[in-house]
Amino acid sequence: MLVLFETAAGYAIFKVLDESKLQQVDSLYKEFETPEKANKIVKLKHFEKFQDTTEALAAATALVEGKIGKSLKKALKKIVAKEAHEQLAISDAKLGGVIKEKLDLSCVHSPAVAELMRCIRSQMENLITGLPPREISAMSLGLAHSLSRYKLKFSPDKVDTMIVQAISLLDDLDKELNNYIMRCREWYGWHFPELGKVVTDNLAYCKTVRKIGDRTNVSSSDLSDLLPEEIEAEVKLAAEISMGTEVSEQDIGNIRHLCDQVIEITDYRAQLYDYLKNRMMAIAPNLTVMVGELVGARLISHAGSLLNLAKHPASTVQILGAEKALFRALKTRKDTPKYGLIYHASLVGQTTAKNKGKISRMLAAKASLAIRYDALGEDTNAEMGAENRAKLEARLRQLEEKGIRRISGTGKAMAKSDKYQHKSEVRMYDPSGDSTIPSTSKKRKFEEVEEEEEEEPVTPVVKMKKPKKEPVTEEEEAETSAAAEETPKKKKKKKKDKKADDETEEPKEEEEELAVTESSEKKKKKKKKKVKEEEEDDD
Amino acid sequence: MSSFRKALKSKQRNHHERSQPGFRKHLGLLEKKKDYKLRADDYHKKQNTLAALRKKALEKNPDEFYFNMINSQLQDGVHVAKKAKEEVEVTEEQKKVMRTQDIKYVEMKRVAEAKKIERLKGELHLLDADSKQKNKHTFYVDSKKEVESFDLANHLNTAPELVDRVYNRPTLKTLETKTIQGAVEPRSAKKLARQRKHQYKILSQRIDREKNMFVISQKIQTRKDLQDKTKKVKVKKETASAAAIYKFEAKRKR
Amino acid sequence: MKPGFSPRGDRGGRGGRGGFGGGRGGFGDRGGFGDRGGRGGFRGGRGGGFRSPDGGGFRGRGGGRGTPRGRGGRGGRGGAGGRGGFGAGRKVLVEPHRHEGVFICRGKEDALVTKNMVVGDSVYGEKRISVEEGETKIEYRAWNPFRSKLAAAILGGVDQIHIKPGAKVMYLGAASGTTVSHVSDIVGPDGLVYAVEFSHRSGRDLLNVAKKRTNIIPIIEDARHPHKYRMLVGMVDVIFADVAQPDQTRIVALNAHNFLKNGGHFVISIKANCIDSTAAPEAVFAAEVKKMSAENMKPQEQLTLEPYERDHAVVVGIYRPPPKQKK
Repeated sequence: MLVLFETAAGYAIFKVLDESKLQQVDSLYKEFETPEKANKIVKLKHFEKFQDTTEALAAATALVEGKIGKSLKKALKKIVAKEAHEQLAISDAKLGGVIKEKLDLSCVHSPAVAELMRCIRSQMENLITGLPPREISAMSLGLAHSLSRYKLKFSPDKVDTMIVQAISLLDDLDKELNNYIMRCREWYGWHFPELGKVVTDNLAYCKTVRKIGDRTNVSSSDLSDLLPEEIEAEVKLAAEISMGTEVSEQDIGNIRHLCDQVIEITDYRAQLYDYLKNRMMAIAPNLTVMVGELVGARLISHAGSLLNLAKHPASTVQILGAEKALFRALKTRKDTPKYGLIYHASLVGQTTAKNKGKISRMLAAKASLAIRYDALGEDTNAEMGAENRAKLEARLRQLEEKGIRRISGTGKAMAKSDKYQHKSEVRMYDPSGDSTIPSTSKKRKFEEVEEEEEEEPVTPVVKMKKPKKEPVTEEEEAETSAAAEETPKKKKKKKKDKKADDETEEPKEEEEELAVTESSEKKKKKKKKKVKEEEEDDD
Repeated sequence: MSSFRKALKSKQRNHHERSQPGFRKHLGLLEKKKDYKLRADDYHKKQNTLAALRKKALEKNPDEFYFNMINSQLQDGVHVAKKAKEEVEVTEEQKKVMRTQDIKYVEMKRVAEAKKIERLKGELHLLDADSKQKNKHTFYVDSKKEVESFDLANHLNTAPELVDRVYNRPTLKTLETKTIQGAVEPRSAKKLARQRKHQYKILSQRIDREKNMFVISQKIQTRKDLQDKTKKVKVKKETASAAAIYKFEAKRKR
Repeated sequence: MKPGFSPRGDRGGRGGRGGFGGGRGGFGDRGGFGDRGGRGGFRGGRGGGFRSPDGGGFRGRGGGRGTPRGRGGRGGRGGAGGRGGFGAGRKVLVEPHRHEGVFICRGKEDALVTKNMVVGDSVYGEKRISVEEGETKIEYRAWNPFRSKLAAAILGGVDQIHIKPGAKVMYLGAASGTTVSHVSDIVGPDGLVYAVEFSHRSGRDLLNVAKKRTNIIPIIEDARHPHKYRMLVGMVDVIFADVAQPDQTRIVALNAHNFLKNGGHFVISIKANCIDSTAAPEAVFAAEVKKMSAENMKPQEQLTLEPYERDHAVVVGIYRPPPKQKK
């Protein structure tokens, strides 16, 4: 009988020398009390050592799943060739079945075998010769770690401490960079103060300073690759009449050195930013899509780790970074802050002040979902984040359009909130009331009437449709039209002539038209949106 | 037309009630109409009350029962409620906090307190607290005889004096081979004991405070919940140490 | 005044402790050898007693016990300033515990501690206490009995935990590795801890703990299937189980059968609620003990964990005890 015994270092195959002893299950352990006794019962026949941890890992995963790994197959084939008639004792019945099926070896698994395994394990270090116990424990430690990592799907890119460090470094760099540049401008400003005014971009300033050095060199040096043409010309002009003092060669040398530093750090910062972007995309793709990599990284670094952040509720994510304000508000019973770090997310930034709180709440809710998905989810795509972002953007648009969900499709509700203007209306008889046949809704008809009337130059009804766009012109028109009713047509014509003469008026009219088309487009969009929403509801 | 009338009136002199003439000055200020009105109203009110009471007394049924008859007692000629004051439902301290503070603030403070307790508990392990619950320790032995001859100190292989010192009963071997390290001088040991005692005091205070805060936040929450219009039944009365319990009708919120 | 151990009851007799003998707000001070008053007792009759690191015994110190209360005042202390000198900076007193590798730390803290294997590192935010002894600096980590059943059992006065330096321990239900880290402290670099945990969530934390402590072998597997991790595990001396499952005893028996050596020990923490929430805790514990006996696991002691846990018990026993020699 042969025994297959798995260790972290490799597969051991023992041969049982005295099978009769196996029958006495209860007293078997006595035979294994000392290495000498044990060696009389079993003998190591073959030891298939794993070459490295990857091989061990493959073998271990196969074993856990009850399959035959490559190395096991190899080891078994070695004995199949020699002693196919022998039975093979196996500690896992399932594995035994597979071996029997694939390699046609007869396998046994019984309480006696289990006891035997136990006994072999107790004398493992002595039975498996040529393998120091240190190595076995080292192998099992390494294997256990890699196996667990494999099970937990640990990946080295998913370490969020990198992000925490990187974002802190980025902040430090920004601060330092700003300091350096201020120093540089001040320093060189002593010599050539006008340059600071002319070249506003920091990097361009440093590069220019590095290139020209003493301002007398400006006229002779070519700055076309650093500055736009007109600015270059300005610099050259300023250099000739500069009011700065002269400085020595040494001073210029030191300033140049500082400029070198600034440029170097700027380059490094750009590189670090790229790295951060990539890492964020790897670790928290959904969060990155929702709030951007910088804000995302700040959130993570504020919470300590992605997992910690995932444990925060959405309301906390919303005001993360505004703790001081929160506690103050709680204490004084004022309103709690509406946003913390999330304020810098592009979605919040593009909102008007009125809706910022609303959007930041919604964004926080969706972002916290995304965070949990990133931290604890299995797959690593950014689909969910993108979807949520699209939803939020849609909602944002809706809010910005005054936030009224128009169910009826008329502009009545919008018009209601307009400023009151006096306007006279020409009431017309509505012939649709005569007929009892239901054709189209009244509202529709009204719109149609409007459209008809629109062809006339200026009528008050049309104005209802265009709120607030150009208050000045509208008022004028309102006045004129109101006057037009009472006074004969002459005046109106006059006005018309005036318009024709006035060149400035014309583009405005065009704008008006444009506005009209825009609004109609929006309407279409809205309809589409509604359809979309309905679809979602169906889902 | 009315504007014309108003315009006329603006020319009129305001009417003033006459004041006390000089020769009657000694009688004091002359009563004006509005003063008389006040006096008269007051007088009539009192008269009416008297009349009502008189009427009530006349119409009184001597056999009628009032709860106040049995619930009150004459004390120095004054009726005083017999029953002692009911238990305070809300202590003054709680009222003060509930009036001035927000539930969120109370809750925040409570959580902060709980965190601090957790931290303190991490280093104060009630090693030799007097009032702590006793645990139960069972030893399994093989025979009845061993039960009879069971000696705890012997079984644990420790000094008999240490048997009661549950948290650490060093074996004889440990006693012989190991030493105490650190601050062993009597003075510093004493100082440490004092500090330790102080720490325990702080811990127990914090625990109390956390409990109080919990009660307060519960009470505030219950009051908030009560503003809901859904049907509810009081299950348990409010006490100083617990909020009232209500059972709300299950209703789906939309 | 001759130093001697004063039993717990006669508190009034201890003049020296009078300054702080007034009870400690609900917990009270029971005294004992952690405080100066009782320490002398170790020597009585036994000839034992902890040796002091600086050579002297406790005799000299015992003499101070009778000091009157008044000395606690400011003036008295000022006068004694010169005498202190040595050890003035010491903030704690560390006494070795019954169980090797465990210590009791009494300073401002009043804590069970283990010697930190990875100096300067807190595993789960627990407090670290460092003690300087001449040149060497030893760091201890507080072991919270409110969070760890094993710590609660130790403070409850369990006879044996069988986890000692150099031991090989199998820890079933390792969770996030908080207690495991202390067990790893106890067994030291020569011992081994096989930490088995099924939950992936807490497995992550466990793995992080194991990264820093090379004597922990993390196993993310179901403890019900020991054959799945048979490759990784050798024979062990002790199995500690805190799995809170109804079939806990069976799980331990399965693992013991595979990996626990003959005459090895088991320490099982039982949460009565997890086994049967309707029955009385005592009945549940008794039933579990019975189940153990059926599996060739012989219980030796049982301990409930008040005041740290409610309705919890720890059972310590021996697996396949060696047969008794007939005399």
